[in-house]
Amino acid sequence: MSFDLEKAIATWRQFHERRRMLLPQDLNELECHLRDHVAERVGVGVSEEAAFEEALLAVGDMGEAEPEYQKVYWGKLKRNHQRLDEIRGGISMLKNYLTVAWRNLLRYPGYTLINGLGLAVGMACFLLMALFVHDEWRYDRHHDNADRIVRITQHYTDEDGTRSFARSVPALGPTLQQEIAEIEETVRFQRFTAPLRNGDRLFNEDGLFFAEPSVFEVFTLPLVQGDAATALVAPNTLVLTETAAVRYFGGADPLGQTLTMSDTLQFTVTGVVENPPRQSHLSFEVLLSFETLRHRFAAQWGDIDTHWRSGTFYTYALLADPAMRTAAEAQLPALIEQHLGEDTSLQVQLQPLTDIHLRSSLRQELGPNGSASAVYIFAGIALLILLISCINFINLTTARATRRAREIGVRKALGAQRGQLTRQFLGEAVLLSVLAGGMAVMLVLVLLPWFNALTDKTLMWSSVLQGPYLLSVFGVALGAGMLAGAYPALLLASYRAAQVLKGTQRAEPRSRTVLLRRGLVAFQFALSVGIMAATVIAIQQVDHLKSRPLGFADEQVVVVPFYWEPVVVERLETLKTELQAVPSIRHVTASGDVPGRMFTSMSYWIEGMPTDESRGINALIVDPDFAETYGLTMVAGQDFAPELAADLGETFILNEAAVAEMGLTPEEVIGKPFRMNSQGPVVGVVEDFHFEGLQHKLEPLVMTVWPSWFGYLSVQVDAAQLPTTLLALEQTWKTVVPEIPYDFFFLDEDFNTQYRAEERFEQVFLSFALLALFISALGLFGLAAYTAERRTKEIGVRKVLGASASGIVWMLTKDVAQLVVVGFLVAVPVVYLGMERWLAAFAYRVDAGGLPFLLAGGFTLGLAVLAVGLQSLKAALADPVRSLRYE
Amino acid sequence: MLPKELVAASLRPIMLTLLEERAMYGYQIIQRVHDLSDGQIKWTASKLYPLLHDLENKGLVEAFWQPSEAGPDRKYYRLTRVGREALAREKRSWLDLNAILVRLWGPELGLQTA
Repeated sequence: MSFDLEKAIATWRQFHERRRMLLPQDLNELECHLRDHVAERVGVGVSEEAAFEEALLAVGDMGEAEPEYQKVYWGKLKRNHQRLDEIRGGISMLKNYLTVAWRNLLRYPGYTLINGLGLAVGMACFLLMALFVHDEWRYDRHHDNADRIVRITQHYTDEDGTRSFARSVPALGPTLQQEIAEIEETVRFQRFTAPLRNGDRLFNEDGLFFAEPSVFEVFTLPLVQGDAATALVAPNTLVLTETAAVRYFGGADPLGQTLTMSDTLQFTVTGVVENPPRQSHLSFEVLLSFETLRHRFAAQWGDIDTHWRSGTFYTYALLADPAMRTAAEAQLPALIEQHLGEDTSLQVQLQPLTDIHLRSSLRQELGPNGSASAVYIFAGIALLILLISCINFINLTTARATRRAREIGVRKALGAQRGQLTRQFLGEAVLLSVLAGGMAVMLVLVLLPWFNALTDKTLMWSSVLQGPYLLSVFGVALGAGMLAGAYPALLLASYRAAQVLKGTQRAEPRSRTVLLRRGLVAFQFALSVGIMAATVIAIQQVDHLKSRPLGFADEQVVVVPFYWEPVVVERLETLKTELQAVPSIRHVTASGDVPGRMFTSMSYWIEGMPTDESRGINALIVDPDFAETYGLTMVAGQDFAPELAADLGETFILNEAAVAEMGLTPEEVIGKPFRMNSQGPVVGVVEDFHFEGLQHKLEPLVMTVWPSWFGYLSVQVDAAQLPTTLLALEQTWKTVVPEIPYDFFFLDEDFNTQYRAEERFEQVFLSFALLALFISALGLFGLAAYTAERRTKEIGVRKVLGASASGIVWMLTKDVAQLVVVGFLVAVPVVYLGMERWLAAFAYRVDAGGLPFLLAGGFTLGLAVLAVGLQSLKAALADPVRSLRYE
Repeated sequence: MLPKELVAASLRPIMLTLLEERAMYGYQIIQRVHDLSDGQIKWTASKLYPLLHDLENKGLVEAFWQPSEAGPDRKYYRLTRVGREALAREKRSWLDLNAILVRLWGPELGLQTA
């Protein structure tokens, strides 16, 4: 057999590798050495075999060298070995932990299901809320300058308090930009509603805004087509969103095309802007050039840049630095005084853009905003639900501890250390909670459409399945598992082996544990009772808002909006005559606004006030037959006479609140000279009616006739023949004013949209209350099953000694009943105070009273007793012979 | 053949000196010493490498790996700055010792005292 050098070296290497005395890199070095030696000897004519033998000898005695190597590497070498062993051992232990954990989960499927499901539902809840909160939080933050943009708001203070407006006078924008160094740029918007037409494509646009060209500098609105520097500079130009561009031009290129407003005014499309994200408080469809408005404004009111009245502009400013807001704001009072004189009641503030969605509820907001407190409340509830599910987890796991006492005893007797056992049980908890986390993500995906409907959001699957989000789910799962597993793990591991195996470890390990478990259960009940009571109160309040008489006939009124189009006003008489000919139509009237959509406020003067003074008041511009159609009751004086339509705006009707504010009686006010644009007598006083949602206090109102301000047609119809009536209405409209798009809404439905936020609050509360209850019941059920099982023997003995089934049920349930009572006592004051604060925000509110609490308490008690009672009944009815043979 | 103790004692200074000249790998060092001493000093790998590693740990020499013609990468050693300083001290001690010996034995062997 011939000598093979490679094989010989490999064998040598293998030998040393097995011994594990040398690190691989040192073996490499030695191998090199051997090879060098062999190569040299072979070079002078020695055979490979002989050279190898020689080389080995020359290397010297490795048996002696190894200690040397070790001395050099002492710690390193040894430590590396140890570390390797530890890691290997760790992995195999982890595998072992997981295997045992998995088997344990499978061995008690009921327990696993209850525990896992409870946790999954809790986590799903939490995750949904996290999505919701994040969505609310990111409103308006997509603008690059979000932290530097402020909205200019106006505030008027008089003896009745402060009235705050989201809109401001037109002069403020340019003035602030010129005179305040901290402000780099401003942009003014004027909201507008009008029909736009491209050939056959005709739509009522209520998302129109006149905007200055600086809009593209202040806000981040990337143009898909067109040039931001020039797009809105010329008069009669406009920029469309992508959606609007498709609406008017389909697939065709919109740039340079023309759109016609109200069939009179031509606009050229100079740009298409990316659709702004849904999370913006300023949502527009079309931006019109401000120059267009400037010309029209100049014709009627003068220079728009120096006009200090008519506060109908939304003005935003870009600060040089976010921190300069206070400094800029401090200069405003002096500036206002300089322009408006000392006795102006106007104050101007700078509101951060990022505060608008969650922290702003001024008058004339651009749309309904969210509410920070609602977000906090929801987030709080979600956390509480997560907490409940964790508590359940702790309870159930601790409760099961005793069942596993023997396992622990055996493990300890076989040499398991306390730390290992802790890890084992912690591992089980974490495994279950991570499984629950996976289940929670699936639940979230399934529940998302429902949750979107509930919260009026468009949260997407894609945002759920993002890396960071899934990572945070995992984090929550891990955290919940650790949290929920830590206590039971430590408790279980602390059992003493000998006692457990002898059976002398007490079934209930320590009174402290029992107290803790009972405390947690009571806390859970407190949460359930609290959330449920709060829900009932919220439901009551929303019902109250919806059912309280508004003071006018809101039912069976169909409203056709035409947004102040002059052509409709011109043909109003024809329209009314034709509509009144339809038998199922009772009344037809026109008005500037309708209840629930009140936007007009004016300043007035009445005899008795100093001549140069004026005060603000809500104004409703009406047709003479408005009061009749809306079923308003006159308290004094009379309604507008039909023939009064001739002397427009020269007679006035006040509501009771206005008269009261003037310090007069209804009788006194009749005939007094009143001025608002033009002057004339007060002819009547109408009974108060709620022209705004009941969150708001009823305010003073003046009504006058001024047809050019009409914007809505209200039609009172016979409910019985609604479909045919609606058809007749549409046909009449289309023949009389074909150029204006036909649209309609029911007054009561439209009015109730003001309660959307409250309804949502109620619904979210209700859903979460049910979830909390579900999780609590689940946990309770598991706990009850465990208790009954644990006391099987005791029950058997009691039965043999003559206890009745009902006695046993009572024995087992009274415990739980006590806890419900404790929870109830804790929950009542907290919820009462919290809900009082919520209700205080409403002008018209219910009194919380005791009913919601009794209801919530009763329901929780019933459920708890049912869950425990069923289990104990099963135990109580069981054959004692069998239960005594148990174990 | 020189006595074992002396060989062991001279290992360190000789090695440092060799590595000061240029970077070398273990086998080269052994060969070089063998040649230098006309076969009087024979280091074995099992003595050399632990010492090299020790010097490396102490920062007197540094090592780097280079590919070799056959087998695994070769490990080269060279002196570091710390190593040079150590060598300078080493030289002084050995020369001092040498001076003592020369003073003692010089006359009898016909050597001049330094």
